[in-house]
Amino acid sequence: MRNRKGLITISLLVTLGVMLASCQPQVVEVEKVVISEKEVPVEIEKIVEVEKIVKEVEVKEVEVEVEKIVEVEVEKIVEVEVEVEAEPVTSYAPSGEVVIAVGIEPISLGAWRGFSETGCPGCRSVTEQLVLRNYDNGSMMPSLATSWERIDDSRVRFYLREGVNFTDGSPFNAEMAAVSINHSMSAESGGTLADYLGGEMSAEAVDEYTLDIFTADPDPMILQKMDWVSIGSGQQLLERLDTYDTEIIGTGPYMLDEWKAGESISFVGNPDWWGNSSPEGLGAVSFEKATYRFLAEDTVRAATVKAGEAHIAQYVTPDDCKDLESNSGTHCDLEASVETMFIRPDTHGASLFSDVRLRRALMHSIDRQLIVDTILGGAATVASQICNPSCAGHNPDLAPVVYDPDYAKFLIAEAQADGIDTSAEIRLVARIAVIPQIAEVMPAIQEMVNAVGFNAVVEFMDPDAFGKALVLNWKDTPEDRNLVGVHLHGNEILDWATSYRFYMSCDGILSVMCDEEAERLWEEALPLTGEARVKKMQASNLRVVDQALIGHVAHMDLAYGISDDLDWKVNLDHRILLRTMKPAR
Amino acid sequence: MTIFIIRRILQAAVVTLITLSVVFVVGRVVGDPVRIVIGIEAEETRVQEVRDQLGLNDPLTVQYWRFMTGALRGEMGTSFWTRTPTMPMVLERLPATIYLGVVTALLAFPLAILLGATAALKPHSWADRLINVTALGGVSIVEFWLALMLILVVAVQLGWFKTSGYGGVEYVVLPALTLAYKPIGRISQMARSAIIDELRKPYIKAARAKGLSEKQVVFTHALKNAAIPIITTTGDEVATILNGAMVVETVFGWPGVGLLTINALSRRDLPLVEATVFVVTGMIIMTNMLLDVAYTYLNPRIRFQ
Amino acid sequence: MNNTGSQDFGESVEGRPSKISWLRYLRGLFSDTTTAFAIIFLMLIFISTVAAEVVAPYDPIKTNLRMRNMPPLTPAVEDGSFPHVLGTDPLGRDILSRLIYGARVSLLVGLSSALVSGTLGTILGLLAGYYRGIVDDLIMRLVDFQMGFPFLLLALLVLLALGPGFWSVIFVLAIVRWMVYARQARGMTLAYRETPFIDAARVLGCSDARIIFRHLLPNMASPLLILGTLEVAGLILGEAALSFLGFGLQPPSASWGLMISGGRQYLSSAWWLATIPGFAIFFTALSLNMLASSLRSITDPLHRERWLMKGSD
Repeated sequence: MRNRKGLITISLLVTLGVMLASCQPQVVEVEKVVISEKEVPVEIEKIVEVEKIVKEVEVKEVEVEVEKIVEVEVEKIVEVEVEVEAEPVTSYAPSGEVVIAVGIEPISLGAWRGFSETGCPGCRSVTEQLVLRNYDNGSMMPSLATSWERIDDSRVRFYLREGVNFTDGSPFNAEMAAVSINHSMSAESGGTLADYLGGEMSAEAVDEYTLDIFTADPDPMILQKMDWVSIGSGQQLLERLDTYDTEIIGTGPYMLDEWKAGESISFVGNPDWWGNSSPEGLGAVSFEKATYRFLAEDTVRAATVKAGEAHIAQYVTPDDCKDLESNSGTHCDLEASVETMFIRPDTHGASLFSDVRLRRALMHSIDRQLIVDTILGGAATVASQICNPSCAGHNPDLAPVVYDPDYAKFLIAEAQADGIDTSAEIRLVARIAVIPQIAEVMPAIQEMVNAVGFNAVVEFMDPDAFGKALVLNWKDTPEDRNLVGVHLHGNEILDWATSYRFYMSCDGILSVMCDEEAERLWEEALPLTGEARVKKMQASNLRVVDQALIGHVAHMDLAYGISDDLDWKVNLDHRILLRTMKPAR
Repeated sequence: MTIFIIRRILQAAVVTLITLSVVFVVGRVVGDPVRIVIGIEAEETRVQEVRDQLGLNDPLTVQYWRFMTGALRGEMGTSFWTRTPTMPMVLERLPATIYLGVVTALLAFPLAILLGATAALKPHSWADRLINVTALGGVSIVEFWLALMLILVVAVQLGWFKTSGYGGVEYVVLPALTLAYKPIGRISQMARSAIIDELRKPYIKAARAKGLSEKQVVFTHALKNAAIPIITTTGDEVATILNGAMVVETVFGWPGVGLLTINALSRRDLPLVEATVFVVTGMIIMTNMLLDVAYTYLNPRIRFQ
Repeated sequence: MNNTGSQDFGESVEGRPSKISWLRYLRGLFSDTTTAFAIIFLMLIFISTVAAEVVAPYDPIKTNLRMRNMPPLTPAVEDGSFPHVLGTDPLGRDILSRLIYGARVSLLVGLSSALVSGTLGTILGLLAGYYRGIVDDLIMRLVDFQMGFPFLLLALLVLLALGPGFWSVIFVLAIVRWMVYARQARGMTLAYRETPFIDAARVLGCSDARIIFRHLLPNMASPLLILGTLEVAGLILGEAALSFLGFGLQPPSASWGLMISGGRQYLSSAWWLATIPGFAIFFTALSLNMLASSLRSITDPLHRERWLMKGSD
């Protein structure tokens, strides 16, 4: 009986919470506390403890209070529901199918790929992570780990959820989690995840439900990075490795049903998901089946939602977004992403842009607001720096570079007076079809840049040529090519230092700059934690922008066409998580 | 007849060998696929590791030998991306393309022959002109534009068929129509001139003399004999359909070989590209041999030799 | 073969007149309404392509972001300027002007690759037909195979190796279509090879080269020209397909194919972006196809009479 009530609580927490918020709580008497009382407070304490170290105490405490209130309210609501409907409902009651149109078919369903929404659509509904990041405030939430503590700069200890099973029947415990995590981080997975997270990590079981994650060098971001590490079945890795790329097995709300090559991947609800009976699952299984269809054409993806064949179309164009918004039965969600369009001039040797005045002239010549409002259809925000306000190291004091063609002309004239030949040809280079509307952004930038007196040409490169021209450190780059790359950078880790390492550090593999002061500040920031680290990064960030070593155009929004039949809203993390969606009504 | 078939098989083998060599050469000239495979931000040591794993650092002769002997066994290597054997990946997609191709052919041939015969009934009439312009339209239209317009108008606005995807009638009609328009244009013109040629022959005079109506003459007598030149062009139409399939499958999200080829090409997945070319070549050779047999069977002059 | 036939056509003398003035051909073609339209359309396109600087109302690369995606017949911003008859694109560039300049690229790609493939194919076809034997076998097996092979796939393979770009596209389109000319040229060579006039030339001691270029080639000119006309249409479409798949020309080049390809993501909000260049390609290819089919009838002795008779009415 007790268990059943628990199930009821959870199902209603998500499905009815919003609607019943208008109920009158004072009518209801709280009779029973359904959620085990001894568990919840312990977890919350631990969270607070950890967060104290990261010095986000105030925020966290407020949140904890909010959570408590929410829980209490839900309890009340549950009692109401139970009284109204005499028959007890099961918390796992999925129905119907949800269809999602995505652009790219994955090449593998290996559990580690779950870090990327486009690299493995739907995978994060199958595999879960130790912790989840709350993108609204940057805090960490429990998932497969119920609590954690920081042992030292390079080690975090996780206390795992008990009684969880993978859908292949094997139990989830520290040993199996370690097998999966170590596999994901190792070169066996191509090393992509390690590259992505900026350095390798290892996992080690301490006892059955205690797991340590550690790095060789001090890394203050271990906890945050675990949001990207999906945990698949360890038993599968040990015994049936050959199925790893085609059969994803996890602990999550959905299980793989079928992968039809070239066409779709479908998932079915997992009746044994631990989240069916815990509010920490952060959602519910509302659909019997979920199908991700692959459609490369933007227009066609939008058309599927319009024609009622799909519920969500991932990444629709700003114009299709407006169209879906005005169409009856569909709407469109536009949400800021971590992708930033940036401008990277060669800043060394005989390049024109080794001169700070010309760099500044370049930056001042571009009307970012106009590009955002017109070509990008308003689906972007003018950027002042490489990562958006949600990332650590974002400097709120920085304003976007002002569009000032007269000042740019003045700077160019000044450089000319010093004998610099400013008529040298500048190559504006972009990769084909990576940025939405890049074919239009480039000519617009070209015209703006030329309007102040530069001599720029536009070049679009295929991935190979682009790699050869741009994936170079300044030491290996020809000195006089006046190349200005326009590209997209996604800072998913929400940490400025990562962007700096790739694009701005003296040894960065994509860095064509080396500024002593910025480098010093960055190096000082690396081993630090909390506010001290943020302050150093902001200082380094300021230096880079002040010297116009790298320019920024816009933080890009991503748009989703959504059917009115579906109740779902995209989050800042841009993950299409099946547990967060349910039928409207 | 046996000698003929053996000769054709030998020729086919030579052609396959040449194609494979061309594909191999193209594959080696193409820029470094490794950066694309493991991401632009990867370290150089990792790039070399992956190159070793994929066998891209071996001497060309070794690679060529491995490639050709593999092909003989029907193994075309493993995909750079999925690390799985490429042949099953391609073969798995084959039914979808054949399905689409057959439906296209079923739409195209009867319609084209009907149009051609109608046009031949009264050459230079308004019906003939109209059919002529319609037919020429088929070979003049930009396929991907037509495909998108059909989706937006017929599927979204009118709601008659599904916008995209793989399945039964409601899924296959639009892609098949898009694909069929070009062959309809060509075959109807071919049918028209073949029938007009037949109509000049003495046996038609005899048929007319018997008092048959012009319709009966065209549809029962002339058409049957005009079938032979029409069938000989079918081989080339297979290529047209496969051509269009790459574009049409991409637009409609049809899980066939064409879509796979485009994905493989844009991901620079050389072994997969090689395997698709191998399969497509095989398909064409098979179709042409089947057509040869059909041709021989249909043409009594060759059959009784 | 009678080379001194009467200039006057239409009399029912035995033996057809073998020399008919170009003017008469032209009159014959114009007598057919649809063909006349096709010719006029092609001439318009050609003239505007050559004189793009004069004809185009706007600079095709001049952007005006405030005037983006304007529908056809939008009046110009400045008073007195030419209206945007065909609308503007996402950068506010005038579509009519871009269409005129884009025609330059598309037609250049179509014509030059047809020329290269035509020359190559004709020479190989002539050699195959004239010398027979192993040369013939080799060339024709290749022709047979390429005829049956999807040319787009071959083009994509070669483009993958060459990298995208204007010259790559021309080269690729040329090498994937040579075989249609080779097949036709070989067929005709085989037919003429045994005719008395070639025998005569041989007896007179003409070299192989002289026979091929002075005697065989001129006799094949018109069928090959017709084939070339058809091919130009096909090649323009091929370029568009390559652009769609992302392997063809790259912006800032502006071909019709690129315009459709770039406009396709606006189909539901600004249909004219892709549709207008789509129609441009369609009507150009249609005109070329109709011209080719009329030319075929008019140069075919069996059908010629009807055309020219009408023309001389």
